[in-house]
Amino acid sequence: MSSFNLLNLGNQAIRTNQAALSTVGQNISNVNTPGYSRQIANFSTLPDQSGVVVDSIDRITNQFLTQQLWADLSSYNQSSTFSELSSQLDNLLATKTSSVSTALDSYFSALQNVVDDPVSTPNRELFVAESDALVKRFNSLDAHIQRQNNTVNESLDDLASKVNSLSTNIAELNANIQLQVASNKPANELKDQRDELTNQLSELIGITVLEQQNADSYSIFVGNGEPLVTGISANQFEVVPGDPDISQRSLSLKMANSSVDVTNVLSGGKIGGLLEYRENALNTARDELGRIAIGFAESMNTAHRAGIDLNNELGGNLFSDVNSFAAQADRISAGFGNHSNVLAASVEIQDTTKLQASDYELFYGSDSEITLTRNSDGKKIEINLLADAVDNRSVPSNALTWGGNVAPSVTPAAIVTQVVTPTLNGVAAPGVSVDSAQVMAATLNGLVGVSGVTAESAINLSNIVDGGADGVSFDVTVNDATGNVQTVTVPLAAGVFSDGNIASAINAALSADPNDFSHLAVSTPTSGGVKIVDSTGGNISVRNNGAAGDSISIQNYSSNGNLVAGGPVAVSPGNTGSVVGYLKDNTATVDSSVESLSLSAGVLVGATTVLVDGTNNVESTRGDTVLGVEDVGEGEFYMDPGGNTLSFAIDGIKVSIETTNFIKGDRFLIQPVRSGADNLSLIVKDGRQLALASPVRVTADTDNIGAGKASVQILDSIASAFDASGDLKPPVDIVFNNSDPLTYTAYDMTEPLNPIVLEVDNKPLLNQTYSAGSDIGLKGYNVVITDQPKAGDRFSFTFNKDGVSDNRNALVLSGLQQESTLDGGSYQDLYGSLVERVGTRTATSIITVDANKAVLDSTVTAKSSVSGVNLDEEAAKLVQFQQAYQASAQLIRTSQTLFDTLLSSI
Amino acid sequence: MRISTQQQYFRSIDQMQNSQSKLSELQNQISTGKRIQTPSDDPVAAAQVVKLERELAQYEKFDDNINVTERRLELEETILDDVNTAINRMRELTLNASNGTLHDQDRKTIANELTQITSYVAGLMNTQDSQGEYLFSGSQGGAKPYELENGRYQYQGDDGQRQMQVGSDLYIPSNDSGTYLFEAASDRLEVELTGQAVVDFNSGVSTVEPFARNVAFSTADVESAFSKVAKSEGWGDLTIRATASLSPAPLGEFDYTVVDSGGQVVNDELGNPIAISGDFSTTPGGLNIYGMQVEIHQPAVAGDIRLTVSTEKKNALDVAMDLAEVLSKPVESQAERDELNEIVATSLVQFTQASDRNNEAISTVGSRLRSLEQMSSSNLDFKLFTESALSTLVDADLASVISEFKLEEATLQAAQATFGRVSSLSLFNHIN
Repeated sequence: MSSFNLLNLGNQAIRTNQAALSTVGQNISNVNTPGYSRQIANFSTLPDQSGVVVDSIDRITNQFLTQQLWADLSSYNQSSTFSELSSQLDNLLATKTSSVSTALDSYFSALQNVVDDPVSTPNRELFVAESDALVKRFNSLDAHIQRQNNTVNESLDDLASKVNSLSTNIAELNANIQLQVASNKPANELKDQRDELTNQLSELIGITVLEQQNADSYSIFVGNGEPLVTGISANQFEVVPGDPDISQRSLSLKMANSSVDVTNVLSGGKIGGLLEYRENALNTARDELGRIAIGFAESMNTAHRAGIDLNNELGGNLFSDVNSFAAQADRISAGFGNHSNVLAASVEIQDTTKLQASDYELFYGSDSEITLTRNSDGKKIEINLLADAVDNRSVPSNALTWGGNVAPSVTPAAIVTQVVTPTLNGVAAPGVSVDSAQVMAATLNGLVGVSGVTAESAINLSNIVDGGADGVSFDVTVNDATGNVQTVTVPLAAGVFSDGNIASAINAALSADPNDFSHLAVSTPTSGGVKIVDSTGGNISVRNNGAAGDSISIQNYSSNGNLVAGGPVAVSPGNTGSVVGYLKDNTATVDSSVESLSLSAGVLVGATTVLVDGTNNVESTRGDTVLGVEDVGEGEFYMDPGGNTLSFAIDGIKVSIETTNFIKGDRFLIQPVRSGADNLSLIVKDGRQLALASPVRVTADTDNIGAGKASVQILDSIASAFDASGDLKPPVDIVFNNSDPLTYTAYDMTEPLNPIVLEVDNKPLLNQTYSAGSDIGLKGYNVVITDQPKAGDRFSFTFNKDGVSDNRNALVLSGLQQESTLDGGSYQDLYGSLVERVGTRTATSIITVDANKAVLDSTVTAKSSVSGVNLDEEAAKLVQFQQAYQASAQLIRTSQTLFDTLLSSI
Repeated sequence: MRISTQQQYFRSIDQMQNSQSKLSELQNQISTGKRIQTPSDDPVAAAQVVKLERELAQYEKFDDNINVTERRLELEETILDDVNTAINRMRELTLNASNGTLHDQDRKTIANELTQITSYVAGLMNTQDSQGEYLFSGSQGGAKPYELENGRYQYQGDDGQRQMQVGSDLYIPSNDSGTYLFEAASDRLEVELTGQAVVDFNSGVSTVEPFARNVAFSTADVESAFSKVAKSEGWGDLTIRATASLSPAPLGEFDYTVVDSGGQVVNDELGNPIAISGDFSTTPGGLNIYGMQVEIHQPAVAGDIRLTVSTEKKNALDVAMDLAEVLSKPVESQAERDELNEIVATSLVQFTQASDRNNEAISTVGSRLRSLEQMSSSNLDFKLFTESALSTLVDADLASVISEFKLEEATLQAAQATFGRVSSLSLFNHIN
């Protein structure tokens, strides 16, 4: 062993301990540096007692804990961002000064004042003012929510640019570290920096980190594995307007030349928190608020329209119409990537009691794959599997008209038959020989989808002249009740023939005949002559049996009950005149299978009977999308055969879309209630226009013996009964007649001296059995009579003119506060549950934040207990290495002493 | 476990911050006295609070409604009392007038007083409230209910009633109409004929008159006997039905029968159908329905005539006016004396009817006021109950909150104290 070796040993040891000391120094100086991992110097002995050397200076770190920290940071930041924003919303909804519920309380309280005293102008004005306040409350709460949405949008901008700069920096560090490693230099500090940047990134967004080449390079992925950083290159986030809802920005990731929308797959971090808040709290709250506003406006409007105001006018809308043209069009937007062009699209609120607080996504795959997704609960509805819309249309007046005319005194007297060809849905049916309205009606009713066509014929006999003063005789040829043609002879003895006399003679002749003529009616109309009506539409002929000079004139009627133009036609002795019938207006019905129906036009020779063309086409109403397809009811859909018009009704909304042609991949976003609270506005600004009285006055006759009480419920204020302002058409009397069972009859009292039994839906309300408290349906309103009326009792229903003190409609309005006007309860029930839902979500998120914080804390603790600097430890090491250094110095000194001793001994 | 220096500090700071935020929350509860500051503090309770507050607002509104209704009904009661006194005076005067020893001048004096009282009562019936709304005109509060037309008072309103909500499911009318209150005296029967017109057989010209016409009762007794039978039998509207007589009867002969509104044939006292038949084109025939005489003419064709029988109602004012009119005329003949006696007798009956209705109304109003009082006290109970439910939900239990506060305060102080001790420990202090 040489002393030189000792010197060398000492030298080695000094350098090694110096390095260790400087590592301690680095640790002590970085005790508060974020992301710093403590370092230790690794020594190893050199062989052959040649001393010590610093092998490496290592970072003390645990990659599993680091990965854990990133995950925990993401979760914690997501939940804390969510809970922070959600608390704001929570406060907003519940604070008395912004709560809709307290505004509703004031509104209904003001309404009660009006109920108490509807005459009072101050009360009316106060109610208008409170209505205005309520509308403003809805609007401003909605504006607050929209502002929060803007905050989310701006935060997304901000955070995306932070993510972009972090990812760029990480990519650069990846490059630098690889360079360092390649040149065999330690890269501890760079790695610390990269970990710290990754920490910051994980605070913003949930990431997956893949370590490559011995942790020399990080690859970072977001969402479902979309690459953010790969080695030395970084992709950039872009903030773009939402598709198709541009009010909500989306994030897309730009990779190479393409851009992918990743909004729906991102989670974790502040960005995840923002998106979760927007999706689960903000939009839900806005939808619920909108739903309440729409339900409120619609139910209030409906009730208000059923009343009359101080000017005796029917009430208008109290609040803005929820189904205005603009509102309907705003509720639907087409995806940016759609291939079809939308010509018209609308969403109509049909039934607020079924309305849901949600938006929907409509996807078109093919005619047999149309899916509607309700976003609030993810429920998928196969639109094409809904019931096909039934389209039962009443045929409009004169759509199916069989015109008839008098066959004058011609010979031969028979009625000529004509072949008529009905064309159904563009397909001509076999021709049918038609010689009467009865056959025509039967033919039409025989077509698939057509029903209820009824025929009638009527003749008027007049100007009966007895030329020979020996009486007149004529034959009447009609069908009997079984459809067989019968001829009855009517003799009139000499004298003056009054219409009454002739009618009696015809009646006598008919009743003398053994056949059944109960379908015939003989009367003397005020316009003159004698009228014979065959309610089955059989032809009626009259033959003049008289001698020369005897004359009879005939004329026919058309379907509107008037005599046809042209005047009566005389039938000379020995000749026969005939009339054919007509089809009655408004009795026919065609169902959804009938898209079009037309009849060949033609003239029945001799009988001059004409089938009117041009007005007898039946057009489908289902394909009309201008403001929604007609006749599509809840749970039904309609797709026109051409594939360009879709209409369906679900959850109380009716969606109608007309496109150039649906193409696979078309998407539509439907937001039925999103802007409901924003669109709410007050229409009635004048207290006098508040319709607080009922339009129907109920008067119980003073002679009534029973204790019966009548009340009315207005169902449809646009019904014909309320057509004319300041009038009820017709005024109605309900009279109880038979006592056991108690029955009633309703009379049309338009002419008080000539009451007519009232017909509702073609059914006369004659001798109806009374059951206490059940509805008696009249035109547009229901009557309920309770408390035991008696036979002979009478109730009159007239227009409630000047009923200024009447508060019945105001009571209906105020009753709405308690009513379940929406799915899930009353307005305030729903608002309460909204507050509860947001509250619960906020409370849960606060607990989640605490839990995530605890997890994060423990990870941070674990990590820092591995990587963190402990000053006491460093102090001890300082002493340790200092002493080693001193000892090493002693080695040199000893070696020198040895050397000196050696030298001096020479 | 290895502890890093940074961690030591962070942990202490964290603990102190936790304590501080808890303290501030507790302090908030103490200073507001409320347990729930935001719905997220207790979401379920918050939803209940919304509901309970709504209920409370409603009960307060019901109380207001009760007060308003009470005021109106009390006013009505006072007026009805006054009207009653006045009607009693009218009846007294009527009794006086029936005294045979009175002279024309005395009767004139009575007539004058009657007229005076009438205008006083009319004033009462036209009472307006502070808003200028007429109390007794039903739904037509803007119309004066009693207007003098041709010397008689005509009711201008309708029989609408205003219902007030005074409980969650209780509505009480806050007014009564003049029809019910004042139009209470029964007068003569009125018969209205509707149906087929008659055709003059010779001229062929149709006239507006129905084939049944000229309905009459021989005396007032017969009339009241008829209306008794009509009510007890429950006829409703009667119909006279003309049907062509069966062959071989000559042309133009008809059968006439009477059916009630239920289509049942009306029989006479002996149980035989009330009917006649024949040709009445020249001489009219007659039907007797329990004293009601109906003249029958020849109809053109078979048909129905409906007879609607109703009692004319009259108010006490008109009874008094009618009486005063007769009283102020001098009595010079037996006929005039008979007329006087008859009208005095009728008026007495009618005043009694008016007074009966008045008393009935007063008791109805009284019973409404009683139910209002009951409702008011039960609303008070409900309110109290709701308030206490609300209080248990939102109010903080101060005793427990304060003790919690104390505990937290102690924790914070301990944390601060230990931080001082721990932070002063460092090995560097011992290395020189």
